[in-house]
Amino acid sequence: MSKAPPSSVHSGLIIEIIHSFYRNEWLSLTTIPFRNESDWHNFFSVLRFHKLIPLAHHVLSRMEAWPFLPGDFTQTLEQASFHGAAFLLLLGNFLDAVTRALEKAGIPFYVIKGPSLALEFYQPSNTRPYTDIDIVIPFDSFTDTSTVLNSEGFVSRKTSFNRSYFDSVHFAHEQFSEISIDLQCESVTSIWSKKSFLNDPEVWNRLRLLKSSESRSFPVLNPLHLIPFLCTHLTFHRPMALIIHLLDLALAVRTHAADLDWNELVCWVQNKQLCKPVYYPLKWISETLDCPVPPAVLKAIRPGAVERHLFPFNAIARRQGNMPEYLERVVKFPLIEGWDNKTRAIGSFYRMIRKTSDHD
Amino acid sequence: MDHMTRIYRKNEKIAWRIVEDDGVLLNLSTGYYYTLNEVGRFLWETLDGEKKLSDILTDIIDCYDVDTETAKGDMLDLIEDLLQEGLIVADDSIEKDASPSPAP
Repeated sequence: MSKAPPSSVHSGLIIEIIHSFYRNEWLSLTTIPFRNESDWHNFFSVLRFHKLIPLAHHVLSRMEAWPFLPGDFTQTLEQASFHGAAFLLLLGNFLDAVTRALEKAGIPFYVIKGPSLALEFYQPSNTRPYTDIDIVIPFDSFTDTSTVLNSEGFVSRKTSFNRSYFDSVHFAHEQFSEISIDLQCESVTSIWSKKSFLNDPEVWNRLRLLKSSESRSFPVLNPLHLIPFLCTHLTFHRPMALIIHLLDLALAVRTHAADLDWNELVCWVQNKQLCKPVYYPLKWISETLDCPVPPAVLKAIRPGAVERHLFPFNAIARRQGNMPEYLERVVKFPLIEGWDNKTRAIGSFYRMIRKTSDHD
Repeated sequence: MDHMTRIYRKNEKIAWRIVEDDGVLLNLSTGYYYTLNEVGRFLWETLDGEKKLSDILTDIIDCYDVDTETAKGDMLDLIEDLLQEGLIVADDSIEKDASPSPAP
C-alpha cells in the first residue's frame, strides 16, 4: 500500500516554485519530493487548480533534476503549457482586435485581470494563464460596446447590465466558442457597498497605458487602485485562492512599491472600507515572498488582534480545491466591513437565492 | 525547382511564440496550433523572406551538432509540413527578382 504525501509537501513545492519565479532564481531540488507517479498526478492537479501549470513548466524545466522527473508528469506539463501558450496567442489576437475597435468607436474602457497582469508582470508573459478578456466600461456604454463586440464576432444573450446587483456580462466568440470577453462596470464589492470602485471617476481619471506590442497599448488600472483591486478580487472571488492571484499581487507590489504613494493607498482603502480584504493578502506576500510592503501600511489597515490571529488566511490560500459555496460565504462574511454592508450582503444573498428558486 | 535556392516566409495569419526552447505556432484562421522543437523553432525564426534554404542549412549546421545530410533531410521534411499546413509561403517574387532575366 502506498502512502500519499501530505498536502504540505505539495504546498511546499508550490511555494518553492513561486519563490524561484519571483526571485528569478534557478530551483534546485536536493531530493525528488514524490516517489509515486500518482503523487505527481495529484501535484499536477494542484498546479492546475492554482493556475500554475505554465509557470511550473517554466521553473521546473530549467532545473537540473528535470530529466529525472517521471516522463508522464513532464510530458503532461509540457503539453499543457504548449496548449496554454497557443490559447493565449488566440486570446491576445482578439484582445488586440477588440481594443482597437473600442478605441475606434470612442468607447471608454480599460482592461483588468489576466491579459494586463500577464503583459506587465510576467516574463515570459505566457507563464500567467488566463481564460478570458475582462474589460471595464461605464454602465451606460453597454449598448454601444455590445454593438462593437458583435461586429468582432462576440455575442451574448444579455442586453444590459443589471443595475441591482454586481454583474459581469459574458460574450462568447461565434467561431471560437472557448474565447470570451467579460464586460463589467463594477467590482464584486458592489454587492454590499454603495461606494463605487472600478467605476469611481478617480479610477477612470488615473488610468495609465500599458504597452502590448511595439505599436499598441491599452488602458489599465493605476497601481494605486490595481493593488486594492487585486486584493479584493483574490479575497472575494474563489476566496483566498488561487496562489497565482497572490503572485500577481506580489509582482504588482514589487514593480510599483518604490513609486507608490502608500499613504494615498491606505486612505483609499480606508475610505472604501476594504482594510481587511487588503490586509490579509498584503501580509501573506510580505511574509511568504519578502515582498516590500511597508510595515506601517499593514499596521494602518490591520484588523483587531483577536480577529487577525483567528482568521485562517494561510490555510485557505494553500488549499488544493474548491470549497463548498456556503463555506465560501462564511469565510467572506467577516471580511465585509461595517454592519450596513454586512446587511446588504445578506440581503443580496437572499435575493440571489430567491431568484434562483424562482428560475427553477 | 531546387528547394534549397528558394526563399520562404511566415504566413501573416500565424501567431507564434517561444515556450522555453520550443516554438508554438497558432493558425489564427483555424485555431489549430503546432509545436516545434528547438531546431524546428530555429528554422522557423530564420524564415524571414530573405534567406535561401541553403543559407539557413548552413546556420543550422553551425549552431547544432548535426551532419549536413541529416540536417538537410529533416529541414526539407519540416518545410514540406509547414507548407502543407499553410504556415509558410514560398516567396516567389524574391526568387524571381534574384534569378537571371530570360533571353529575349
